Amino acid sequence: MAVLTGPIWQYIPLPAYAAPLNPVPERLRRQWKDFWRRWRGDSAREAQALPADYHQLPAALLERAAPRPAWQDAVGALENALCGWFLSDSTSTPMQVVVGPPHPSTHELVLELARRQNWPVLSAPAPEQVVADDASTLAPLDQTPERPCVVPQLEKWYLRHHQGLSLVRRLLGRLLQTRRCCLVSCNSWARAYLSRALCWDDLWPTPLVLEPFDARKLERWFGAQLALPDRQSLVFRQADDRRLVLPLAEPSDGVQGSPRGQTGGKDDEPATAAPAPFLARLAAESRGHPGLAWEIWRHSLRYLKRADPTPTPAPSQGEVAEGDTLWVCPWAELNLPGFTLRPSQAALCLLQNLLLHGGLTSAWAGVLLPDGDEDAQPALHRLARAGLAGAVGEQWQVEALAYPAVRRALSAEGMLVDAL
Amino acid sequence: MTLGAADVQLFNRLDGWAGLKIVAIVLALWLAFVAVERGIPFLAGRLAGRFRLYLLPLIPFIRLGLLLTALGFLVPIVIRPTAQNLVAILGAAGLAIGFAFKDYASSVLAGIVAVFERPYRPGDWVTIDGAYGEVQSLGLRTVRLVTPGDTVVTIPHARLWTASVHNENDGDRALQCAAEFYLHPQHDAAVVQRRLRDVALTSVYVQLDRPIAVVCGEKPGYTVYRLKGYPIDSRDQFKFTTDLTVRGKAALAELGVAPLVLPMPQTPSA
Repeated sequence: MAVLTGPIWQYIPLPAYAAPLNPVPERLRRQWKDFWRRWRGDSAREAQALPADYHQLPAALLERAAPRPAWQDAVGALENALCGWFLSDSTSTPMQVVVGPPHPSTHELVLELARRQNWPVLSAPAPEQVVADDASTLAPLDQTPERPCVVPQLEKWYLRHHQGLSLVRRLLGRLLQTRRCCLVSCNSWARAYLSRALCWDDLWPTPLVLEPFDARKLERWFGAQLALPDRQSLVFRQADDRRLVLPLAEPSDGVQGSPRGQTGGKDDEPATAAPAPFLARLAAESRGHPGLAWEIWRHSLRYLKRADPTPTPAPSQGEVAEGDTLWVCPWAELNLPGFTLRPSQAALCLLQNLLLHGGLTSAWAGVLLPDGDEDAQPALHRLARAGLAGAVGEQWQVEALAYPAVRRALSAEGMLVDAL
Repeated sequence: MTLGAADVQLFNRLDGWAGLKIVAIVLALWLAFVAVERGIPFLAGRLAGRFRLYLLPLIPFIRLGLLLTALGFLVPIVIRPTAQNLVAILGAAGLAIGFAFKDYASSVLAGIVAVFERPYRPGDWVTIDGAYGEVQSLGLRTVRLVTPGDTVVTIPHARLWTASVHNENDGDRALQCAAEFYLHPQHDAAVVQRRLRDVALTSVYVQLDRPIAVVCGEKPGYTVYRLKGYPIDSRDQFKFTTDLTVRGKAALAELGVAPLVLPMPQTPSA
């Protein structure tokens, strides 16, 4: 099998996005498990089958094993994708749209690009300004018309409220009318809603999205994150069958070794072999979104803490010390947040609104529900207890680990879901 | 050619074993009916909403299949299946049905027609003889509706021959709903139309892939608006209409548009 060496980060047109799929037997197994759990009406979590010796990683080790992505490469890829637009006479396509999933929020990448290019940024209005159709929020559009401006969070420019669509109409109308060069970043959920509600598909340019991460790309990305010397000794094995999940690093004679997965391995599984099934499942469950995959990857890592003080035998040449091995929890035992029973309509509407707006305060979450605060407050706390939603500051959001289950539930009920 | 006694014998000799087989078949049929009647709706309730309308319409087909299978087992036990015997049985059955069970047979036949013609299916919202409700089940002879007021209405299939059936969703999940607003005529109709449209577009129940329309009509003394849209699930039609009405009234109040207020009828003083 040929080793893939193309760029990891690449932006593509939205219609070309094809999320990685689970293998059919895996999909059937998951559907049967979901059905069986609902049939029993059993709200109890499944028993932890992994031995108790496997523990969640402490923060320092977690940062070493799965460091927080810098996203600089993603910004660079976006810059490459857009350079033809902002370097040339772009009056033919004054607007460019970048769409991304909620985790990580695409607006941070776009803001970083704006910082690099010194482009003015149109800050998102507060919800109160949205319902008041506050035209003063558009005033910065009149400044520095010679440079492209950036609208980093289109999902914050509207609300699912009877007065919540005027401002976004005004903004888009203004951009189309003035033909000012503008880079708009939009949450994939907001894009799905706005394209239906406002019928803008024929007015928008084809949005750009990050190319989905399949198992091979995840392998390369996680491997690249481990290229620093203090991380090269780490070995990632599946906890149930001890198979390698990431290929071993090449022995390095310099400061920095070659990234894993890009050269031939030396252990029982060469880097040219098919990626581990766990990574294939991870790519499918995260629908190709690297931010989600990274969150689940971190959640899956364990280390083995022996209860007995028996000394670990010294590794022979070519083997890896037990202490450097991190164990990847089998998928069935990850216990990602999900719905044990059929979710209530209020809960689903609430989760959908959180996704559509890229997070909401509890007060606004209540305003946007038909039954108002009376329904929203208890529902938010129930969702938080189930690990489905959480508050960052005052903003409630769908938890990254729960995103696959939430999207599946919304889709199963025929509710609006994003295209990614 | 002369016919022997065995050739003209219509019925088989029913001994204890044959009786036992008949009882077993009838019992199995009844159990299968109960399992289908309860199992499939139970299953549909457990699965996500969009699967409900795939599963429920299977019930009449399965029941019909079970019935025909059971008859296939029963008939050879009871009668000798020769051409003469079948003609004799059918003739006798025709007479009996014509005189005694005409209405029942008509309903059963209409039920079989309903299975294939599908004027209503479980999960559909229909109006038959003025009764509006969700089709809960299709029996051999009757169709059972559950009205929004939770009343069960049982209607013989035979009404198919004479009455019209109004099916709101015809096997689909969505059905059109409308909220009506009666307003004082002095207002900007274009503004009201836009705002009412936004009310529908921002409802959590709305199916955005279906059209939304605001129909306006001018009447003597008032203007009427009908805000039409489709909820995601037909079961949410009343929630959807209520949501449109509540939020529509709020939106109109913010615009300063006054609703039509009719004078209260005078009650005779004591």
